[in-house]
Amino acid sequence: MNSDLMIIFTLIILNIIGISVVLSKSYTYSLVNISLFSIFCAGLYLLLRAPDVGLTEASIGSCIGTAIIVSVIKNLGEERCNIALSKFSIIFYFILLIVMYKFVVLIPEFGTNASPANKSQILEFYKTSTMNFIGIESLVASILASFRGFDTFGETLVIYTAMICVLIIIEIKIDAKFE
Amino acid sequence: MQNLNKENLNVLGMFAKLILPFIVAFSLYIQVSGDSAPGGGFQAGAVLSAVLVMVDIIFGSEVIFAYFSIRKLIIYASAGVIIYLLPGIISLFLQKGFLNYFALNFLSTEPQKAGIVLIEFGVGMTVFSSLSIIYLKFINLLRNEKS
Repeated sequence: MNSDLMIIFTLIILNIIGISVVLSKSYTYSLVNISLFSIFCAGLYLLLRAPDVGLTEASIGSCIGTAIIVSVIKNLGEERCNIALSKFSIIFYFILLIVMYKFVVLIPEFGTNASPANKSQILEFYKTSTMNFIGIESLVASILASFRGFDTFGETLVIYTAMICVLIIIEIKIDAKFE
Repeated sequence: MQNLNKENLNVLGMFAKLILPFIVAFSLYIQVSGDSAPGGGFQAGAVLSAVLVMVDIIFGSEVIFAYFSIRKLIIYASAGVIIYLLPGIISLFLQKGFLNYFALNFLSTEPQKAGIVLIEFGVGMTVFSSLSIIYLKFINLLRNEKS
């Protein structure tokens, strides 16, 4: 099967799953759909030649995130989590969807030279100097770890800080329960 | 450790025991080959913590706490940040600038490759420990509240 056809097929499935998430009445149903959405997103990233993003999406978006939300709903009880949307908000979401489809057309096509990401001079520098200057095969790794090493350090610190924040919030004794 | 006995395992447990070594090996592969294949520290840590979530759901938290405590995981996360900082500080003291891996030429003949592998290892440790702590703390808070 052609790769472009596969991408279009995945995008159509993603649209159907997204609409069924919005329209779903029970939490279990919508959670299964969100998890499915993540898995199809991972497949889409693989088709768009970003397998590392796909790996992250599959493990964090579809495994860890879903596991946490499932346990929250299991402990809170499904009757306390009412997600049925009113008619007004469904109409509002569909208007939003139409506006988004209108502007998505303006984004340049994937992988063409006309897109601003491929026009920049720095990309040529990265492409040529990955092999000559850094001496490794992976372009992503050379940008992520060497050229932009300071940014990746900040990224690591963000995750570390998130962990510390979760620890602080959970260790604090909460007197007034959420009611 | 009661849950890992053979009599207590159901279909899900047997399947988890079957695929667990393969996922761990895969995550180690994308950790080590971060310089030549897609993947790297972040992806390896995320996949490893997904393994931990699977073990927690199927076998229970006691199996995990037999190997890791929260305190140990916090130490691993902090050690990951320090491992990331090490090449930066070494290059800073050798007057080459922060995170310039060419200063690591006393380690190997390919200093950039050595630096990249080193910092990917730090990123992997931090991501695995942080995601595991967030998941374990959250889950055990909810479990204790109910009982």
